[in-house]
Amino acid sequence: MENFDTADSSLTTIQKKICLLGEFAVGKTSLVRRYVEGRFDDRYLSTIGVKISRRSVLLPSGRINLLIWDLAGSDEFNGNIRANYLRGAAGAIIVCDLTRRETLTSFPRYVRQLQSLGLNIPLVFVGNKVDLSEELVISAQEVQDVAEEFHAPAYISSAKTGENVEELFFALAQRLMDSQG
Amino acid sequence: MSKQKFLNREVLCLLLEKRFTYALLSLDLKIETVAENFATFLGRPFIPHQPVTELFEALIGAEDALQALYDGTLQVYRLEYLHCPDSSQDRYFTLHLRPVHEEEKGYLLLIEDVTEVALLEQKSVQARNELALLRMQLERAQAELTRQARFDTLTNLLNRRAFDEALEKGLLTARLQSASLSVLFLDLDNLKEINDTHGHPAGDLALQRVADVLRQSIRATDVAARYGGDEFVILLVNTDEGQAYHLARRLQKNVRLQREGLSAPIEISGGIASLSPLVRTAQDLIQQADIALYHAKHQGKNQIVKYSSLHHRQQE
Repeated sequence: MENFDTADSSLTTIQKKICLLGEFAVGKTSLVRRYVEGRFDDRYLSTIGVKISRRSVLLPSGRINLLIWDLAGSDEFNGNIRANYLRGAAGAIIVCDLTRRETLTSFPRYVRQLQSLGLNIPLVFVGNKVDLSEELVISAQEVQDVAEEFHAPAYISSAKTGENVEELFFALAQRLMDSQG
Repeated sequence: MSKQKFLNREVLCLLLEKRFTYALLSLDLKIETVAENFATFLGRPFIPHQPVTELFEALIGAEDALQALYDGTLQVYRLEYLHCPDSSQDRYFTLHLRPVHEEEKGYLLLIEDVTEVALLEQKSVQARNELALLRMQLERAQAELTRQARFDTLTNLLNRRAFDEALEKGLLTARLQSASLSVLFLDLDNLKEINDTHGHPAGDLALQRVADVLRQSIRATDVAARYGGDEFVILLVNTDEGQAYHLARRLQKNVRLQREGLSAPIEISGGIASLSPLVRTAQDLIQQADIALYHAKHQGKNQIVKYSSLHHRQQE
């Protein structure tokens, strides 16, 4: 796994803050842990406030240092507190739990919240927990349909198995680099 | 140190209680002045004029918010419950930033240790979320139990109890609307032979194929069910006896076309009963359709018999 110490100084390097959004217990912290630390913990531990992690991504056009803000689920904080967390975000990953339908229907609310703060930023939509194949109630197509409404890519992922975790962060990193011009 | 006058008495008291520390920052967010307890409070060293973002990454990208703060469009910029673990424990800080408009312009950064409150809050949120998840699991389990009580597990069609309920409602509605209504009783011919010759899995597959045909052939308003071992039943709303007969013939044909995976060709027999002055209860309809089916089987199977034709025959 790459870290900041191994950055190639000949490449253009930018630093961007990204946020993970979604209802409680959809697996935001697990996705970050899998991506940054390469591990998974089955226990559910609610996130309070915000935890910041970082990882560097090497793209063909340069290097991007991601500051990954893992925010508490939507019910935990009121709008003003969340607004302060979101300020300065360059991109966001909006996550739902494929075994809980209501976590998908809240997607547009997160987009509206970002837009209300003037944050028309690159997004990636994620349907997580695809490993729980017996309990899935949301299809990949449904996640795709919502993502298309907002012209964003969609991924079906599993923090447990690592399926598509690298890919979804890479996709956002690529979009951030592209939007850099 | 003149900027310390911005720290009011309340803040000083909190500093004494060791819950707060502070730093004065330049406009470009370098640490200019700090409280005496700053380094011990944070549990890590710092270098004078060090960018504060090196201590708190949360302030990276906060330029717009800080500008808004300085312009007065934002009163205070606060980041609550920032997770700042040190080598030995989880710690949570809340950062409060206010503008300083003195001769040396900059920001006052108050850092509040909220670890105790955050850990309590974490427990509370954890309990609430776990409860919500358990409630969802319970609702899902209840829904599954309800489903299992109404559906046949082999064919995924409604079971007899659910069909009887639907028939009662359908009969009532048909009478209120003076509409036609028919019941089609079907039986998979030779199920016993299939089971005996090819084994029960082959018989189960044959039953599933019949169920598939029924599902694909009826309207959304009709109700199909597995009524017992090899018996199926369909409630056909707004359907008279002649229309029910045509459907039955089509079902026979479609069932005969089922080949894939089956050990032997399959056929069905059927009995039809429709709403008439002779029908008083839902059970009357079931009984008439059952009698018609009995005659169909008796006539050599692969037949469809209308109850009315038997009744007319008896009258003659």
